Amino acid sequence: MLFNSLHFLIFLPIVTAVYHLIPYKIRYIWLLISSYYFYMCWNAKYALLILFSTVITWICGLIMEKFKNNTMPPEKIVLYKKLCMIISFVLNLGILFFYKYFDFAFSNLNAFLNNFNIQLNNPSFDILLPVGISFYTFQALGYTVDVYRNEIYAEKNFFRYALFVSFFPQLVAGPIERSKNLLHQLAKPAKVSWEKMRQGALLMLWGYFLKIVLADRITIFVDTVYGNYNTYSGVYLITATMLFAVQIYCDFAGYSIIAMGVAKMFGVELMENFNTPYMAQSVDEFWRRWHISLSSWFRDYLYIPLGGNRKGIWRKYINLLITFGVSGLWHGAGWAFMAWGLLNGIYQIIGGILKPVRNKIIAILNLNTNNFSHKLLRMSITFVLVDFAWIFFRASTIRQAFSIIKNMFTVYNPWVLFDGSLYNCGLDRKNFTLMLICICILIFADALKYRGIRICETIEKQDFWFRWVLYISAVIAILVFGVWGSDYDVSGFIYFQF
Amino acid sequence: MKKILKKIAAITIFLCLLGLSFYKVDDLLEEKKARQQYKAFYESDTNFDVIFMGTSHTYHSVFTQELWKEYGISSFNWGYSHCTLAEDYYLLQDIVKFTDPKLVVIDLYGLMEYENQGNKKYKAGKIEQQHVQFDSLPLSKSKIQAAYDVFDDYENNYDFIFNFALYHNRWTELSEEDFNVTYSVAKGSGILYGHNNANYIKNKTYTEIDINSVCSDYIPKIADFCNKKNIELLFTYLPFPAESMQQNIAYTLNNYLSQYDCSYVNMLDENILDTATDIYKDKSHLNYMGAYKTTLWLGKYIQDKYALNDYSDSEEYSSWHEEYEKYVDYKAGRFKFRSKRANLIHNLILSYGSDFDVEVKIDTQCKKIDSDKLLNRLLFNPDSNISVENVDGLSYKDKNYDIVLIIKKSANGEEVLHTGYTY
Repeated sequence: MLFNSLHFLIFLPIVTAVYHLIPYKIRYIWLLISSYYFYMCWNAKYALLILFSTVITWICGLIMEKFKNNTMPPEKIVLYKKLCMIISFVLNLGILFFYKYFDFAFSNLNAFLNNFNIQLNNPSFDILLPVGISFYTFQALGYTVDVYRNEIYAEKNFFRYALFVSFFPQLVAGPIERSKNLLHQLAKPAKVSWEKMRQGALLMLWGYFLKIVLADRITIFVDTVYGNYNTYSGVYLITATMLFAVQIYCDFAGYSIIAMGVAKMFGVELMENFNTPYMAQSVDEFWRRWHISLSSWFRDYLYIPLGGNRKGIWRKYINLLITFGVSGLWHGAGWAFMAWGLLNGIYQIIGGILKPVRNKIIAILNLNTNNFSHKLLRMSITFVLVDFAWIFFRASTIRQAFSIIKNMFTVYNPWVLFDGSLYNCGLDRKNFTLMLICICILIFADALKYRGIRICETIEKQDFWFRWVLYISAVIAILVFGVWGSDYDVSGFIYFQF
Repeated sequence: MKKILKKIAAITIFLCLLGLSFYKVDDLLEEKKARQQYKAFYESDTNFDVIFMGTSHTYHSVFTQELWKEYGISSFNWGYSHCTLAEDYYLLQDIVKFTDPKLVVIDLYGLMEYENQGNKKYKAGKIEQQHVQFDSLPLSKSKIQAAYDVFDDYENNYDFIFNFALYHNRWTELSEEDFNVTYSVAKGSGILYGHNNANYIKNKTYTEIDINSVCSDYIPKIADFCNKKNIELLFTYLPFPAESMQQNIAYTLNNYLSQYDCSYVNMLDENILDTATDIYKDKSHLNYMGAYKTTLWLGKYIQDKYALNDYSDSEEYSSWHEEYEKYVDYKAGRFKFRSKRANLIHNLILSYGSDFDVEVKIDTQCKKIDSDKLLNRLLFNPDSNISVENVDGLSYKDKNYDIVLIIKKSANGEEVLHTGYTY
């Protein structure tokens, strides 16, 4: 069940209405049932996988909790707890590996063994990647580590814990919530006021705007150009690559914002997953603003345990490469994803190495780093670097990514920006213009947010008639200008595949 | 409590405003063809005694306004491009909610014709064409059933129930017509103006064809429905330059339909058309002249067979005379002024019938006209109302022409066209 499907638009009001009508004490049970129904709409059998992950991590958590109060020597307690954590990691990552990485690993192993004239028989598993498996697996593993580190108490109520793993607004595409933030909210959900409901609805509207008006419209252009990158070369590819950066942002942030809005309706505040990422002035800062729940997960559960920046500069760089390499693989089982991750790591390493040089140039040229122009320059450079890396993310293979880069820079055709040729790439003049207007709205909204101005709060301060006109116009605009309906296959959110 | 009631009232008003806004936008974005085509049906104060159904052959071959003028029959044409019998079955269920027909005439050209196009009911035409008829219908049980039966193999069949899903993208193509809708005055019929010479070879002998199509299942359903509603049912095979196979199908239907006790007339056998003048460009449909002849023939047939009322003098149907005048004005507006032979042919075809008096003046010096077979056939057609005069040195508005054409309304002598043509 996609957020942008009719099914969900029927499902949500029913779940919300029943939630607020039933007794407070059993509301989490209702949410759990709804969450499993939500997930089973994709594939009922795969609900067993979440259940398995839930049971494993819950039991491991309880055992680790038991050890905490045990009279055994501390080193033994640590050993047993570590054992529990390892079991949880091995089982959960084992499932993830099987469903997500088996084919990739097997084909690479076979390619390697081919060098020695050895060919392994490919076992044919008819497996589909369970939607959102990476998200809920990481959320459950995060809980295991938090219990291991004594940062939280293990949840004793199985159903409440099961809801933590499967809470439907963020089940299939995040944000990957932390047990510290979500578990206690599910245990004692806050009272939902009309204002909260309104805020939730407003967030959902913004999320839908990003997804179905902007991301899905840009998709048409990007898919046309990337699907025929030998025909559409030069400026076509440069335009499509720039637009892909916007597309993936709107697609993923759109989902996260809808998730936040939906959760608000149940009194749950999810963490913010995107914080104006393209306003970042360095790649390092970009990763503190992009997919925050995953970046911080990797920081807390991988980068810091590896030593972080505590073991010298070169070890820090190695840790960065490992973290970003794994992050790349988390996004997809392919070398192109790995390359994308590593490239982002390399950017940061080069950025670190060149920092003294950069500072020296700034001092020599007497540049004011607080100037808008300086910030704009840094933002632009960061965007170009991040966008260049997105080519590897969007391409199917590394070879294809290099072909795209070659076609991008070896064909000279800047006139296509002016002669209307861009209107032949899936979006006619009106749709293309609408897309540009919507991108301007997005930039405006992000700029306000970057300066600490909350549009939602500003709107809420206005008189009711103004708000009503705004809400009604927004709903109608999304319905009219959204890319949906008969001429269009309801598209999944890009991040579902992860 | 007071606060909660206030909130509920506010939400209700908000939702009403949202609904109203949505309704207005939906109304604006909807494809207007359905409304243009069928508004006269839904808003009529009088009953339609005859309903014509079928494909584009019905739509372009049966002129309900001409039936009114010649026979005083009140009828509406629900035929449309690629409409299948399956659709007719469901459409009929809704049509009878708005009128009380005595006779339903369904053309069976489409019965076997669309079987080769994927054997899927909806695949017969473009989905937009199928929408024209269904969009006009208000939401009903039969409309929902149709969406899931007729369009069962069309993934987005829900857009027949909620057509905003299909039309919301029309914001890119809005025009004046969307804001000021002009309605058809032809009571469901559609006139084709072009011309082509068709080569129609009649079969010497006929072969029985196996009538077994997706849509043939709907014949007994329609017969049963009409029987229950006490409506006479007549199936036709309207005339056109049919190929050999189509002639065989039309022939076979005689026996096939008798098993359901259904009346049938194969109009291919009736020598109604002159294939030199009556066929449209695509050689599959009839132009205005052919359709006019077909309509008159069919009108007489159903008048004789079903003793339909003649409402010409009925007070209740007085508005039909005014509507007919608008129809004549509509036709008059379609005459072409530019001095080209093709336009002369177009005007002579469209002026056929009893609505216009035509005067043609020909310069005696112009010998090329003698070798123009089509023009001569149109000018000297014994059934036409054209008077031809040969003149020495022909001019109009200080210009010399080979032919001058003057068309006047028969009803009041008003001149609607006066123009010249040069060969």
